[in-house]
Amino acid sequence: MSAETLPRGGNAGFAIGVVGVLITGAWVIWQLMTQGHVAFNMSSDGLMWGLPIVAYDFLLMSACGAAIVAALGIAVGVRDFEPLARRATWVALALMIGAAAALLLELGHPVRSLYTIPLNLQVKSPLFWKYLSIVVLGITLLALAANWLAKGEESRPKTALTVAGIAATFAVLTGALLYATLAMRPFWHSGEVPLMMLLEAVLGGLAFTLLAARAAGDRDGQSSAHAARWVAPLVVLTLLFLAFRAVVGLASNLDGLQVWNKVVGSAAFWVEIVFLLLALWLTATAAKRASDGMQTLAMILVIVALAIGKYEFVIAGQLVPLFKGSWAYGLIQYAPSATEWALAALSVFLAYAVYAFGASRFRLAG
Amino acid sequence: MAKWGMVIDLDKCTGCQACTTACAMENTRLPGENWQDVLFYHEGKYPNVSVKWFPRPCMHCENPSCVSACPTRATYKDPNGGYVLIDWNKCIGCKACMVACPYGVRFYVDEKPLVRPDVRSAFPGKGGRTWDPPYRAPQDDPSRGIGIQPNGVVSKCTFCYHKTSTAPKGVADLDEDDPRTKEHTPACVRVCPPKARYFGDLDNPASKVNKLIADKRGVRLLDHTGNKPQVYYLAGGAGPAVPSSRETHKA
Amino acid sequence: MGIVESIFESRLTRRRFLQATAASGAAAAAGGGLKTLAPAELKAQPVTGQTKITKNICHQCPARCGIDVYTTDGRVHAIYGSTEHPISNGKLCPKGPLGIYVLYDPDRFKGPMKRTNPKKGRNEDPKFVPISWDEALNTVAARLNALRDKGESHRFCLVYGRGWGASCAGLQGTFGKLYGSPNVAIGHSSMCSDGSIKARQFTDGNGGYNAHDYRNCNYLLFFGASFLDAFRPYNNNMQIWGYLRGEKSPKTRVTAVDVHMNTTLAASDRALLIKPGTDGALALAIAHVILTEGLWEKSFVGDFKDGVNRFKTGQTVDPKDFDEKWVKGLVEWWNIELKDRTPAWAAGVTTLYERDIVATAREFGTTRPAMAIFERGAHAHSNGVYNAMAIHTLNALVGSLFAKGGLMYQMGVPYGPLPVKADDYMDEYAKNGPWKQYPRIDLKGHPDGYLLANNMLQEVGPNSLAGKPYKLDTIMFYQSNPIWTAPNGQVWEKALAELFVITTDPFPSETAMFADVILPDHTYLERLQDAPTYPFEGWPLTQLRVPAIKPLYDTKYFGDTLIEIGKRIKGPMGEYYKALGNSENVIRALAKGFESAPGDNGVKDFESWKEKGVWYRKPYLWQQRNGEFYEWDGKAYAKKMTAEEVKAKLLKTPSGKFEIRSGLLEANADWIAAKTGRDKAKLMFPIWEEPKHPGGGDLYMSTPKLALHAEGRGANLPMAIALFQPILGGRDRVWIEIHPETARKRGIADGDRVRVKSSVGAIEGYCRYFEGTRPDTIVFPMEHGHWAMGRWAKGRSPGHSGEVTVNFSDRITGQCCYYTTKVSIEKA
Repeated sequence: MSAETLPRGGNAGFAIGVVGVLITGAWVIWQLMTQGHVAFNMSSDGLMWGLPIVAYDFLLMSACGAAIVAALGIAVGVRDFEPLARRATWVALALMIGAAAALLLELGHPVRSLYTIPLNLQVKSPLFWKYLSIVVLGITLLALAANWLAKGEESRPKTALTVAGIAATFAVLTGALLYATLAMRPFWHSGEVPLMMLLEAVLGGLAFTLLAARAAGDRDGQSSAHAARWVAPLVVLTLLFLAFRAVVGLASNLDGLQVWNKVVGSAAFWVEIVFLLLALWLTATAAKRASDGMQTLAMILVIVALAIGKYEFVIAGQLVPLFKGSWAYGLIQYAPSATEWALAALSVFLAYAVYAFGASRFRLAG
Repeated sequence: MAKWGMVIDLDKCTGCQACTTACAMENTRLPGENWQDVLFYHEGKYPNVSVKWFPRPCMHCENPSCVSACPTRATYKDPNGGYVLIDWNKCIGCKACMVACPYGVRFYVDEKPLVRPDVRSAFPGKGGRTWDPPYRAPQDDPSRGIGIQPNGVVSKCTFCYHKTSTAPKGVADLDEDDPRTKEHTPACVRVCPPKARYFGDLDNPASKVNKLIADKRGVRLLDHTGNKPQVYYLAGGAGPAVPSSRETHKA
Repeated sequence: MGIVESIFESRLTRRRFLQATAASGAAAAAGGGLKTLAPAELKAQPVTGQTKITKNICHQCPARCGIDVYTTDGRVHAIYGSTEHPISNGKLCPKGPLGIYVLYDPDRFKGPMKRTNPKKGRNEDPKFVPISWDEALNTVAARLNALRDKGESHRFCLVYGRGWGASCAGLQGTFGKLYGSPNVAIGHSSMCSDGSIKARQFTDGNGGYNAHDYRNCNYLLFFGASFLDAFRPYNNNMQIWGYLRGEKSPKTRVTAVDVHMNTTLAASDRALLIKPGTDGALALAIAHVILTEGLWEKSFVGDFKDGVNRFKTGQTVDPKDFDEKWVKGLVEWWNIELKDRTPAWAAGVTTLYERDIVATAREFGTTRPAMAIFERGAHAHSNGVYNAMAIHTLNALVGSLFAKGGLMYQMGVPYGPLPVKADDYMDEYAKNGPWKQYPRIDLKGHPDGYLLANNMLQEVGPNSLAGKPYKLDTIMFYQSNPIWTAPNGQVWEKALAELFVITTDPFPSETAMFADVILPDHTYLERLQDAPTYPFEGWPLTQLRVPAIKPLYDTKYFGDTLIEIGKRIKGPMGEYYKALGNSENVIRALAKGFESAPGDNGVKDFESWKEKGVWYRKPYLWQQRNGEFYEWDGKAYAKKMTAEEVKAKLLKTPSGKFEIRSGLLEANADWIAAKTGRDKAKLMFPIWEEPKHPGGGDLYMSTPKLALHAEGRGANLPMAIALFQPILGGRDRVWIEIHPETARKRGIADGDRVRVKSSVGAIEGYCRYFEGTRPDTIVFPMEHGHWAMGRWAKGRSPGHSGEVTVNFSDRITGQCCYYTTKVSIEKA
């Protein structure tokens, strides 16, 4: 698709997004109003965070990553990212809104969460700091959208993007901290998890941004080709983290890590690896990086692989039941319910609709 | 201020689950919402199979990981008595506390009912509460997680706060066989037929709970997590569990 | 504390933060304003009314634990054990607290009903319509009067299960006497544990369950009778356990025998997983060791005249060499049966290890006092009476009968007489009517049936259906649901389809679904009802249920229902019941007996009985010590008893001794030999007999009681369902336990849906691998598989064991042999 094919004032993407939001939203809201969270397949016996949290986490972390890419481009001066900074900023905001929808529909008291977290100042909780960072990031992105993207001026809002970049980094690290500090869940616990999540966030944010850039047309295509050089090393690092976590998990006798057998035995895990390797190959040479088709495919592969990885991470960490005795046998069996799938789809459609709205109205290129 | 602790003698515990049902009745719990639970395990091959069990209330830890996880301070440690409680007016139902608890003591009832048909449909709730059975217990204190909870919040054992917090001041133990403290004893302790459970002040050197922990080498579960539960188990023998090294080698 | 801790120490509260900041005013306003957007903050609802505590007795098993019932604002919300009640002592088993759910069960009958759908069947809706009590009682009375007028009053049968006391089940016998039916009332004991009752009667002359002095016992040997799972008084058993194992010096040692691992076996010192139906072999081997190693209690049993032990494996002994003291037939038994019953032999029969049998025998034989305890698991088999006699004989061998730390029997309570004498109201029909020619429908006491049995409830339905000895016309049930509880209950469905059925069930049980009239009883928290204790510690005890609230619905206490029906029977019988009045009069009359025998807690009349809930008087009046019997003289067991007194009061056998050679069996030897083919020379001794197993399958089937169900009243309690089978984690779904190899050989995977089949039927459920189950046995609890009984009870797997259980009874004792059917299992 080139810029010329985009209709002015409303485009197909926005329409698709809105329709998707309306259909999935209606279904999810109806289920939640008639059944409440009974419509989800989560249970107190072991699986407390399911697909909705996975969707929220993945979209939010990718949003932070996109903000970091923008910040790196303009505030830090990474030349490859500079032309993508505007688009990355808008991608970040769109993904954040989708993530927020997923979380707010999952929480027991979503409206209450908006004010009790900041006002009750539980400084011991990583989630408090994550909330603060997200608020700062959100406000900064909104300000950037209004003043920089919407106005289309040629400017370099270094300060704002610095704040956004730091807030985004902090958000990822504190979000990871909640998992990493849980000593009795060895699948999640360790100091490398925040680092791994930061890496995946940046890779995800970059992938979403590059995908958007490719969809926007040739002018952005060339700049994204340069930025795509960063994909390969990020993918390599991601694969290394995955490999080492898997090997340690498989080799260790520690109670709780036996779930790695199930993870490594699952088709999805190998799909994730294959997709990442393919993406690596597809972004390896300059020639390939110039191809629209290959790059679009590569970014989609990365996004799907990272989504699988996030699902694995959040879910597998809960599959070994803790302190439930005979009430929870073997590994927890979990599959998302229809409402949970609809909720995940809703968050994606919403992010897409927001992005498409901005893509047709704002100057996101350059 | 007391620091309430519980001692559970596994030599005497018969695995009957009376503690679980007494708690369920005293606190009007839904099926499956085992604030107090008895966990069973077995291993071995026929004919030499060992079946083991132990009762698991909330540990009311001294360093609760749930309190550190909760973003809204809905879960908090009450220094008057050492309770870990939940304020249902602050809880947003994020379940970070459930994920963070090493002992699996927390419950979120906005999920599929364990036993169908759903008891809540037999006794629908009103006033924002999840259900309203005719046998609802009279005590109600949402700021401490006592009573029938509203939708969308997490709940757990309160060490029968509504009973224990009104005990005569300064008493060393809450014993169901003492008429002064019978009505203040937690339901699970009161009902236990082999008298395998004790409840008392860990800060009081004269308390029976401290004596039992010392004489019978009481252990804390999952001590390596550092949460330091206020529930101790007596298992007899030389002491089969590894104590936390933070407690054995103080810096 | 360090810097890190101080940073993370939560000192800041919202209020302090707001106070501290300069913007506190604005922030406070913002906080207040934002609140209105949120859902209304929940306020604590204060407790308004006073809490009332009334006395009652738990209803969930026979133990009769005294309970305190807490009612606030007209709502019953808590049940705790009564501190002053000697059985509960302030404690309860897991079933006790759940009693409130029974009161508020939404599926209860709300009042009397009559059936409008003439068709009866499992899938037929009875189409009950509510009627008034007058109409209901008149309907029943009209039916009974019509039968009497026709001279067919014998065709009215009243069946009862858990009868509690003199004000309910206790009224039934008089009703039958005045009305003129041999079938009023038929109790459930044959479907309970009559096998043990008769075995005791045959050996020590007492046809009852034992009372026990556990607190002074140093060794317990359980054959089944799962002490920590269901044996009553379950609550008290566990209190005893905490004492015996946690505080008593010395600690009591325990060996437990069963067919699968349960908490009783797991908590004991030694678990023996025995082949079903072979407990007698184990008991004989233990007796063999006791005799060959000289471990028997010489002061009670007697000894060789010269003190030299001649009991040697395989060798006979001359009876003249042995001086028997309080046992009869020991040496004859050794010669005829016991001399070859070695531990090695028993190991082959029971599949236990010889070393474990020998170790158990030595411990049992050398630790005093010791008790061997058994119930249905050991005797609900074709060889059951002999298994039971062999086990009970162990108690005699170690001298624990009537001893401190041993077994005894329960004393009766000194109830006052009823204010009206039934004999004064018997008309000619009652004294000599045609009904007298007819035997009981279950052929109890009849040579064509079960000559020596106490009851044969399991035969009532089948006999009526077959018309042998005759067909019934009208049948009434109190606390009984035989379509569910009887073996092969499908036969009862056919039988009840032909009869006019009356039930007093408060709940929509399977039998109630076949009823023509429903006269629903109160649930126990609404009743005024007496209940003398089940055998406990021997000294007399009786307790009272006092209503906690007014009845929720239009129900009537069974005692009153029976009296009201009686009032409507023509003739002097009606006058009798009019004079009797109501059940409260009955209870007041009973309580008058306390005036001359006040309880240890001061209870001396009806009012004090209601207030305290229990009357009891310690101690048990007799004690055997070093082979001498003593009676309590007011201060001590000091009054030595003569042999005649012992025979009259304690060892009530023809010889006045513990009869290893049973005189009662010997007196009926001809009948026993004719009907069962047993050898007349041996049938009066505890012998080994290979058990026979109907059913056609290759696996034994055991259906134990679990802690959460006992008498099966937890079927519709969601909280009981949620905790039901903890060892295997069976809750919403309850598992059939199967050994992994047994399952694999039949292509069954862990968690598969399976079908259990026998010659009488098939049921389906889900299985779970369990190494703690014998490979030749499947085990699942009896509670589930209801097709009625309420919304939570219905349709739960596994199906009901009764549908695959062959109706086979021990011809001597009448015991319904639930555990003798062999089944097969396959993937469904």
